[in-house]
Amino acid sequence: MRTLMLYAAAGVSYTVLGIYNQNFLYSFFEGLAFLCAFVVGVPWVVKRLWGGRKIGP
Amino acid sequence: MSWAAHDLEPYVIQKHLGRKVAFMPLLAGSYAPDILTKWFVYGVGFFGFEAKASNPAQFHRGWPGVGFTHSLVFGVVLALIIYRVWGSPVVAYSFLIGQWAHALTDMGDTVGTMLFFPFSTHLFSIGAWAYAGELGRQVDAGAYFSGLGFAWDGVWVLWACLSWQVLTRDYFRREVIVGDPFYRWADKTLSEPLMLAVYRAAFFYGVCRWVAWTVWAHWIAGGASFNGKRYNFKLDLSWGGPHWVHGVQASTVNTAGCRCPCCRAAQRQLAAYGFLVLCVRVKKLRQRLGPDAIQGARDGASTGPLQGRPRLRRGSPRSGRSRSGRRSTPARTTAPGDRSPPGR
Repeated sequence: MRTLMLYAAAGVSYTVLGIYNQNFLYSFFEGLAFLCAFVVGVPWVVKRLWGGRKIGP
Repeated sequence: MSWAAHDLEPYVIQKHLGRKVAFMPLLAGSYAPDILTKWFVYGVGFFGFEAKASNPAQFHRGWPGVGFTHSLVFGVVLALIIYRVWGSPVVAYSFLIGQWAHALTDMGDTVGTMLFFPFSTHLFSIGAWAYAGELGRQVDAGAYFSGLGFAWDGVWVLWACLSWQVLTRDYFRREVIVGDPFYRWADKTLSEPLMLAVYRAAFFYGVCRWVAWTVWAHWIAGGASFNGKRYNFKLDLSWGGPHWVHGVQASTVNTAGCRCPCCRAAQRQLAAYGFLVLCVRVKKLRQRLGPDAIQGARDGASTGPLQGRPRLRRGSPRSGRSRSGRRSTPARTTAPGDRSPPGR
């Protein structure tokens, strides 16, 4: 479910970005780069940032 | 042209064929006809210089032009090259299926595709929606998503969504990695989330693109200009529409044959190649029948069917000729310990 939500969020973001500027919809490679950045890159960055921070006492 | 169908067709094909196809070559085949040529149809600018085809429809689908990329033979040639390089028939025919799907899908517009090039430059077209590539990317998108092309892509979006099982992780592990050498190779180095993102990217791109262009054309922009002329994107789902745009017709492409010596010589060369292939085929057929069979057929024709020698095929025991073409030795009729010559 978490993965599905992540992909859905990526889809909505990419669609909005494409409506705003159609150059983001130019070819498959723009879509591939965006999806990889959103569903692999962002979780990796978040994990790295949260991993080094201790929550609570 | 189709805007989302080429992204979504591979998933539907994958759903139906499973492990019999490799997904990555299938996708590459589906993109192959346009991947190196589409940018020149709409034009691209860099450093103040714009590169664009003077006649985009002729360039994209015609001959002279790169219309041969949308032919069935082009797919066969590329598949044979892939088979030669890769040595895998699955990779080769998966690519071929993808390329043929693209060529057949693009028949839907008013220009169509030269399916039987180089044997014919006839453009096979259904003419369901207008081809407006010469009016730039935005007007072309507006026209496409205002006509039956929008509905055609909608069918593929729906069909791909109904094939959602192919997007699951279990299916990817069970069918795609097993059937596709690319993912088997990538599995050694890349993480599974990244491979899944790459696998799902064409679906993601196709659906998002279909939604985004539709919303942009009908709710955000409503129209666009090209060369000072304004086009309003009014929905027109009639056959060959939308009719507010002047769609290029198949009859206007390939009308002016190129008079350059190269193109004129190419037709003669093709005829010569065809004749050469025919001669080789006839020669191989004669070799396959063999001299015995030809002699037998001649004798049978001269003396009648009952008195003539029976027709012997190459590789049959009585012809004395093996399938490899070598003369075989007669079979031994004596025991292995007997030193006397066979048959005595």
